[in-house]
Amino acid sequence: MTNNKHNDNKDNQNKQKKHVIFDITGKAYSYISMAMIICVFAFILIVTFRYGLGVLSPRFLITEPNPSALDAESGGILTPIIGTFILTIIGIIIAFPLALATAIYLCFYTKKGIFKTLVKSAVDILAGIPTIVIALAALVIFTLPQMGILSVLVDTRVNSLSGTMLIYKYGEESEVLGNFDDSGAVYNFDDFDFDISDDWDVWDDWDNWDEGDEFDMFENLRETELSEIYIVFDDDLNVNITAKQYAETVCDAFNQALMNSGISSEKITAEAEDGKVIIKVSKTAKPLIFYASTNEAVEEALGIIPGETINPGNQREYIINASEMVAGTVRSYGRSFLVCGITMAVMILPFVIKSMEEALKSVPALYIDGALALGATKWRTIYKIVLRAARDGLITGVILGMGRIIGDTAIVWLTLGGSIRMTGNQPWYSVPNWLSTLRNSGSTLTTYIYYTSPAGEGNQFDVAFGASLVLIIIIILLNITAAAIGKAGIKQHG
Amino acid sequence: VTFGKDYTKHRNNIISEEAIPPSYEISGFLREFFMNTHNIKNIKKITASLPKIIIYFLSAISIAVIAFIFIFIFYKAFPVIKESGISLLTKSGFDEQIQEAFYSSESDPMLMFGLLGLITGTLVTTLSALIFASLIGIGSAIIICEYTSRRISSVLIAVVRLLASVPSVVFGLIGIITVVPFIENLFVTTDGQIEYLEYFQMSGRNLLAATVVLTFMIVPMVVSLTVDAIRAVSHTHKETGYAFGMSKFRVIYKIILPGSRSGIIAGVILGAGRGIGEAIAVSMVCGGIGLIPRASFGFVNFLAPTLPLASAIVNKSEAMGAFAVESALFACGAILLVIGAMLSIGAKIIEKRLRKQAGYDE
Repeated sequence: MTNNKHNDNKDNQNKQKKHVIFDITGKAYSYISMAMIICVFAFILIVTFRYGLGVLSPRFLITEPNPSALDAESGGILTPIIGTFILTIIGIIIAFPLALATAIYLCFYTKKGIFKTLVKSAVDILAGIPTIVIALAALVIFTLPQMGILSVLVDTRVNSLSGTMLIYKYGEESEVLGNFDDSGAVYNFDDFDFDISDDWDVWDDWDNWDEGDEFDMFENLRETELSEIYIVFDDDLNVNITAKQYAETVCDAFNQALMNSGISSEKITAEAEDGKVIIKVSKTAKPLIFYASTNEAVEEALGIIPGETINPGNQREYIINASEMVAGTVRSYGRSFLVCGITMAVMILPFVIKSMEEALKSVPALYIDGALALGATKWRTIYKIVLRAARDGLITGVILGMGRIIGDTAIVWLTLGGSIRMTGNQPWYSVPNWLSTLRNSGSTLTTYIYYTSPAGEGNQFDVAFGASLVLIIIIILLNITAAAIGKAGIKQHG
Repeated sequence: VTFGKDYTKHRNNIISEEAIPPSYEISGFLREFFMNTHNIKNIKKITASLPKIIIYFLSAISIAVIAFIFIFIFYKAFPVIKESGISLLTKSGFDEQIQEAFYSSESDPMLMFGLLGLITGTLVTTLSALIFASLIGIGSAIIICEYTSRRISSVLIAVVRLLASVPSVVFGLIGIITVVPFIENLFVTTDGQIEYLEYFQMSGRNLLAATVVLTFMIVPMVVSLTVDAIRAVSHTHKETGYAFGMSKFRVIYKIILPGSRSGIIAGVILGAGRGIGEAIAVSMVCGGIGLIPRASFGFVNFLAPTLPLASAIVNKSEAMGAFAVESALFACGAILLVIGAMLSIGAKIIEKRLRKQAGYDE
């Protein structure tokens, strides 16, 4: 009997021990988890402050960023702050009426049907779609030419003609005579401050090269001592244009370069005719030799063979190979503050709808019934009673949306672009240029951080931390405002 | 009421007698129109239903937006989906394919893609982050609800909320400045690098870094939903547990956590959604190469670079000028879109089922 009792006691003690250990380990696990979250948050704040506080100054806040590797010249974060501000405003202005209407519909129009199910599931699905996918879809929709009003129209037929045509005259000294760039403008190489010397090797040791040193980038041209003029189609001459335009552009550049080089148009001239380039070399001129083209597309398009010669008194037609041409398109650039703001509005829509729905639902039924009993119509009840009673909740929803817009990077990266400055008409802040600023790209704090981080191109992480610090301060302030509004609401309603 | 008719007669008389200025004509018409009670009733009807029409119209925009997103994403992804077929999901080698596609000509684009590496990257990062996040999140929620006073718990909730609102790019920045070098110092050795050189280049930017960063981005979601769920557990259940002499953590383990199951699952699913869709922060620390984990590597898999779908879109977005690359990235987007939509529908179904279950339990 006593033995049995003893065993019981022992069993109980064991059990109790087990329970105590279970309790302690459970408690320890919970405390460790909580401590980890607090530590990580503190760590984020400490790191941001440690690196960011050094660059933070009034000047940092009010100067525009400048793409420079030198810290002293890298500028501040004025335009990113303005960019964030603009996007927030646009996003909220668009999302607010949509979200409010949908929330009212979901709360007060209780008739069940296909439409209601559709709206409900649309909101749910929208909440689950990754922001990057929303940005991708926006990119397709807003690059349609019909959407040109929201961003700038891009004429790929002209814009994609990026490349250079260099024309050289061979003589005692090599000389670059003309060049035409992606805008089709032709300029003299004299504008550049370098001389062409005999020493090609300087390219091999960049380290020893100082300012003012001479180098020769065209020595390889000189090896073939054949003719008077070389034409080099350089770089990526994208042939995304119509044949006619292509021919005209080539002729313009060709003639302009000849004029710059002092060769009269009587000797050599190019004419464009229905998608053909006709190059005529008069009897008094020297033979014209085409130097190697670095671009296969141009060779194919024009049918130029490197080393091909046009003798004096002859002319040669180059028919633009139309099958190689892709008909050019006019499309919208698809990256602007307006586009990004609309996309942001779509992104925050489900969250704002949900928090507004909660706010509307929390309005006491007593208020609504009272108003309806007094003979007010449904809309009047909603407008005069419900919206006013739920005001604080609605504002909290808006602030939630603002926080999401301010913190988003993926959408900005795709639909606003990675340019760190405002790209509209300058100065961007003057009133007549506002629309142009909105229709062009820029940056926000988040993309500026991405740009200056080691993952981006800038690689100035102290500047990135300075911007992060500003961003975090803005977000903390927003959270405090939301909390204060919530508290005030609780006080008001008891 | 009859004034309107009289007026018309009168006006007709005037017209027959002399010419009247057109402005009078219009104002006369308006007066007549508004004098007619039938018209006024109609106007009132229209204005009364106007808010309803507007509300229906604005609500319909959400539906339109969803439809547009699906249509345009799949429209752009279609060339790659059609060309690659099922091998889009079963083959790997995205990194080489994207380079090939970038240099392929416009008339004969390279459209054969295999996204398996990216899909496994997405799943592995999200799953491992979810495991850590739910462990940490549930523990923290227990502290917030059960072990602290009201004042302290409100402070802790504020911390969790602030952590949730830290922008992803800041997570990425801090990850790249602190977590990546830390992992590099701790785990990446020259011997290890040489040993695995033929498979991948070992560096601090790897799956582990992505997991760590993602974990703390997901955690606030799990915490806040778990807290809500724990607070919704009925007091009587808890008191019953204590009355039976259960210790505190036993009550938590046996009564509170099972009772708040639905909230926890909802939090985890939401976290999964965020993890799958997170692009920027992960792309900054993931290493940018979509490798498929191998069982034989064991833990070393975590030191290999990875590339989830969403990060791939960000990483390769600069090459999007090429038609084939664009279509491939949209195919990534299409997969993400389907996963995201399925997760949110799944969450709804689970929530409904659990609610029903809870209804039967009570």
